Amino acid sequence: MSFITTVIATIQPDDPGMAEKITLWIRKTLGPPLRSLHEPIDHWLVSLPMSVAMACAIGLFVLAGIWVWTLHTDFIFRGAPDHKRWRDLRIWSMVVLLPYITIYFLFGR
Amino acid sequence: MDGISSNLEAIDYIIIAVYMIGVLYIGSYFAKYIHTSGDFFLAGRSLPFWAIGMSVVVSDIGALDLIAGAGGAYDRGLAQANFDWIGSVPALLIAAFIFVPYYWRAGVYTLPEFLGRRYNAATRWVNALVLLVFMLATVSIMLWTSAVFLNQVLDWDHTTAIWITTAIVGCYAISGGLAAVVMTDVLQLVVMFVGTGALLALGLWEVGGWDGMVEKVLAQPGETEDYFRLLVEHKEGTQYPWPGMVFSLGIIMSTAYFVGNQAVMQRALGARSEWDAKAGMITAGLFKMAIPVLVFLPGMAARGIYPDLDSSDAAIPTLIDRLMPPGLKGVMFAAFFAALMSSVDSYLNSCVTIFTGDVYRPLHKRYTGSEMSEKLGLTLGRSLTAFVLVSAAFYAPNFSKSAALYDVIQTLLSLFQGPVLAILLLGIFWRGATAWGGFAGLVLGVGLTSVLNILGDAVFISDDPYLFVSFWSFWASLTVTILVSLVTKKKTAEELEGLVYGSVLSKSTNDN
Repeated sequence: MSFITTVIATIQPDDPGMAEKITLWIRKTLGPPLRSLHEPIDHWLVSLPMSVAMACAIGLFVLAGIWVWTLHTDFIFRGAPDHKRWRDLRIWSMVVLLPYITIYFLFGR
Repeated sequence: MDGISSNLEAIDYIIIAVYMIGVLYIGSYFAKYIHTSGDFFLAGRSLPFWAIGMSVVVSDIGALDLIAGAGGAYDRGLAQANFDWIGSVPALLIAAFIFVPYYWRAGVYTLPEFLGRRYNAATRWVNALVLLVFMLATVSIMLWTSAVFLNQVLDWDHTTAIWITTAIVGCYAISGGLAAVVMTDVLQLVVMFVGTGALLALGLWEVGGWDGMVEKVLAQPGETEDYFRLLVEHKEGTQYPWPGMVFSLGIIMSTAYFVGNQAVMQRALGARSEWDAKAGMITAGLFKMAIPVLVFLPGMAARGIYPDLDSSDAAIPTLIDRLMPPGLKGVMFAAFFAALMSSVDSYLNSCVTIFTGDVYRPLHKRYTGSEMSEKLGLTLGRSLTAFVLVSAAFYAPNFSKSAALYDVIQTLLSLFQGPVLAILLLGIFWRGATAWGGFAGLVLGVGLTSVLNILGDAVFISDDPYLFVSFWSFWASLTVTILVSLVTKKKTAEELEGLVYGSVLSKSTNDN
């Protein structure tokens, strides 16, 4: 049940028809024009091969990894008691991201 | 879970009792370190990264998630794991490297506080109110869930179960504050991992390992070809279609959840240094990897072993009942308690923080003209924790009948996620965002989300239209905020000092 219909049904439990009328009106009035706007996007997404899906998912992790390496060293270590290699959070990010990339490579398709 | 309690043996009860005593001891231990409101709400800024990471993960997993998450995996397969993998890790990195250092250096403790300072007081009040109502209701419903669980497992009546849970959580949350909550969470995560790990091993053994599970599930009638795929095609009637999982869940919904979740941000702000705060978020990303393996894989194994269960939610209880020996059953039940209590204590602590910081503190300043003292803050924090917990306990039985009210609250929160993320990002990264721009983006964004929620399958072909509703409401709010900001009065450079990203990160202050 959508938000508005749930709210109406909660505050007007004696008039369940009211929520239904509003829902129907919105779906009838706005549904067709918005559907026609979204339809081309759906057609395009349906036509894409699953290799694109996998590339997008893995790409998200890879982009996150690349972005982390663009951050300044001082920013990464700020607050750390020393600058030892193991405290480099960019390396931590890689350790976290690589298994996910592998998992999506193996099970994405 | 009927019938399981009759199979519990003395050793199981002993393990559960030892676990409860351990939680109480750890929680109470930290009470002696609480002297100020800063100690209570932010653990005296002493939390190490590993505790933050473990606490963030265990707070996010409730007992319901253990049952329903595994049930979802029993039904839909591996795609369920997206919620903890692609739906967590990129967002946790964004939180670690953008929002945590930003909140840390700007001296902001809650999301409503930032929205109030960056935009206006009305935005702060609306956001605080929505979060408060949501968290209060969540504490109540979690207490009710624990009562149902304890009733089924140990045959306790609901009222007794609610008050015993309330007493245990209250003992350490009232006295020890955030430090007690986080440190008990650490124990709770370990117990949860041991219990679910044992269940996974037994489930995989019974089904014949990974290969055996694949073979048995794929041989079952029905559409099982996507069962072992993380990404599912975007077509009519698909559950969890890949564009929704990658673009909406992976980028927008997860970021909004982790950045706007007070329970998560409060742990980071309680860190002993900015480095620990950031490292805590990344550590959470590492532990998140284990959740689908430990929780969802047993559900998938159950599909291979028991393909004809009446309800998918029976997957985990059935595995426990039929595969776990005495002793391990006790550990598994301790894991359920761990999941229950870690979520209740986290929401409780965050709820009190928002009430104290975003409701009481501004009112105190307005009517007394002075800041709230540390002593008053601590007294208020403890009193409110007790008050909220007891109120939630009294209200909890109502959720046995009024599920619709919880739906309203949940949906209300979801309506705000996309729009709040949009104005939050613009507020931080764009000096040109104005008070009216933010207000218009929030209001119109929430309006659009409401309408799109009603339209649902009339516009979107997926069985999960909420994935696309969040995506479009985010972009609509972003556009409206920009357009309105271009034609309304901007804040001066002085007003924005310490609020926009550049001015915060260029501050020479160190965190220690």
